[in-house]
Amino acid sequence: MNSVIICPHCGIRNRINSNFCNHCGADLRAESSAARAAERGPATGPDDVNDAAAESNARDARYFDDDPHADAVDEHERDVGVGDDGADTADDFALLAESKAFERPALRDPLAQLSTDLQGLLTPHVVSSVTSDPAHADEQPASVAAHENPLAGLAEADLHRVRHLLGNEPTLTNAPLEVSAVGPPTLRIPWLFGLLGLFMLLAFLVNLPDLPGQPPALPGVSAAYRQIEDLADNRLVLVWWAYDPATAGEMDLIALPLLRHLTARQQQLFLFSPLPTGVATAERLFTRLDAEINLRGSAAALRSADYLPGGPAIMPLLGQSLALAARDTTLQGRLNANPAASAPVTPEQPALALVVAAQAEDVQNWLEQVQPRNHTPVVAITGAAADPILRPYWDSGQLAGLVSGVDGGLAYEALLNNAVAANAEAIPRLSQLALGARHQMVQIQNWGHIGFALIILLGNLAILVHSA
Amino acid sequence: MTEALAAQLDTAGFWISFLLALFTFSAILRDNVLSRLAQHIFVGAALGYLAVLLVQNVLRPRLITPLVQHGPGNIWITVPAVLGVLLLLAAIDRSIQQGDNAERLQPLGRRLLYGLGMLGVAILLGVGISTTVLGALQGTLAPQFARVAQSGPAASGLAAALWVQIAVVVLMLFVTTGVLVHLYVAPRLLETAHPVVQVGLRFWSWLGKRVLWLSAGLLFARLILSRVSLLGAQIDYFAQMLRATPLWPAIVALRHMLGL
Repeated sequence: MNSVIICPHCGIRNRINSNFCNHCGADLRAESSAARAAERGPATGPDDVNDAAAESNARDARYFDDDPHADAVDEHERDVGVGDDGADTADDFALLAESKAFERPALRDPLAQLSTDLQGLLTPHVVSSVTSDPAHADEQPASVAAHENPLAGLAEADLHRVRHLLGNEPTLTNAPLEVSAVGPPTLRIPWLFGLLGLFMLLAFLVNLPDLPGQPPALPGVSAAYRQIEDLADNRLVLVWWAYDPATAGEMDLIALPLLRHLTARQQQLFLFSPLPTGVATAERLFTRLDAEINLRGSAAALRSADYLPGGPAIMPLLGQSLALAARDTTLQGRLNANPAASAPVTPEQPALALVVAAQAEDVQNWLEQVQPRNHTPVVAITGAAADPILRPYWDSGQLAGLVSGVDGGLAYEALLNNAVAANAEAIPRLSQLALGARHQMVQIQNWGHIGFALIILLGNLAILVHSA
Repeated sequence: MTEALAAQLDTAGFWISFLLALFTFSAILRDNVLSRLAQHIFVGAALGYLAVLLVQNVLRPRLITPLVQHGPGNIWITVPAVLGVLLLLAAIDRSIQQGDNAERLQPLGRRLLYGLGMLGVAILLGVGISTTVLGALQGTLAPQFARVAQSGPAASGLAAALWVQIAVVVLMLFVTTGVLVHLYVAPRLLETAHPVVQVGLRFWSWLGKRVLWLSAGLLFARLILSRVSLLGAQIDYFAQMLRATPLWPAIVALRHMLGL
């Protein structure tokens, strides 16, 4: 049985379900599906057997007919220990032969070329289509072939070796091509997702018991709360909204309590987003906030929302001249002094910057490009994965507050609820529906964590048993 | 649009997104036509949305409207507009001619077009790289180093505090270089270096390896937390959908019957 697939581009071994080569990134989906078909065993019906045999013969024949260097490949595979048994070697030949079936001459029709390029956004080109193949060599103009493929005369085995060398950092020793004679263990993704999903679905379908204890609040949550609580009313708060629906499942729960707090404190939020769908995501969340606190009009706190493309290069503008970046006239009015007016407006600096981002890079960019220029305190609201990277910025004092992960959001929510208990009029209560939804999400996640821990435990046990 | 129609569109959108989510998740089992269809729809819709957004929010208010209102006199608008148009023309021409070694084989006019088109890219790259490098220095490297240098237990007296800071800086450099030794230096020098140096390198590499383990473990744990949250949100979304189907009363009845 063949438990690995050989990359047709660089010759390295890959896990059987790999879509792309771990070493060179070549598209292995054709090879992977063929290997899986081979792993499922021979066909059962007589017709299937005949068809499979005929197809196999045809593939082998095509391979050997098309490629005069087949013997060299055979020798090479033996050298690197791939063809340990006959079945593997035969499979490898078949996989190599199949990869050649994807080869095609260069498209000359401009429209066809354009559509292929667009398709490349989704489906990477088969890398082996640019290998040297004597069968297609005559379809290219001689000048192009000479320029584009100086390795045209090399055998497939030598090509593998060249690609492997070019794809690696140079080493001082003559390291062998393969690091292990045994293929890596098979990763059964559907089982992993199935188990994890089952645990989390159970928490929804069955009233599993609440897990004891509360999630620990990491440092930075209470500081973020104090930053917002200490703001005077009706101040200008700048929001950098750097997440979209792809990460909204996590980020919404973290951002909601802080937005609820800002709304309750009657702050004026001016939002910029570097993401195309960021503004729509923010507006949707404010609408949800309206529903959760049974109060129509909290979305009015969001005074303006602008899409601002340009990445880190545009961000210094926010620190140097917010008025230039702003298209909203209200914001421009608050930012620009007007000495000619009878009652000049004092230019205003943002009282607080709220960076709402799923990735650490967006917060880092803000701290590197904007904060050194306008010196506005920054509170970061981020996903759990960003926390370890951003924690040093909190320790160094560059962040005035850090709320990360759903655990951070829940800790903030608890602070808000304490405030509600102390002074019910200051902060709007969450509706019962919203409270129930929060509780259910916490349940689902807690049991998901237990499921994940079990998967890791079982996996380690399986490896131990296998090794023994 | 009437409210009833809007509500119907909302419901339709809900179900379409539910189906597309199922299609996407089906890729867990294996690559299939439905998951590919969902991927193509997502990418197509995202690109279309982005194109409309760029025209409506960027090109029209920040470029076209000022050009129409004030004419081409303002170089801060005219020059970027010209560079943008040249880049667009070069990209279209290059895309159509792709694979023909355009730089060497094309006539002068086309090469000039590519050169002018690349001018805008060069400006973007230059500004982007310099901004990023300077920002990293002033926003990350300097403050973080200063913070590390100032940390350490409270010490009495200036000299003691100075020694603590020096020790912390040395420790930070030692650990950081330990990682580098483990990754790059040790594997190459271990076989050839003097035995005493080998012992030192092995310890240094050992330390660097543990630091990497600790960092990777911490990152991985928080990454898991984040991804489980995302999966939980999806399941919660499915749960909401399930509540809207006739299946839900049956589930509730089953739960009641089983006492769950």
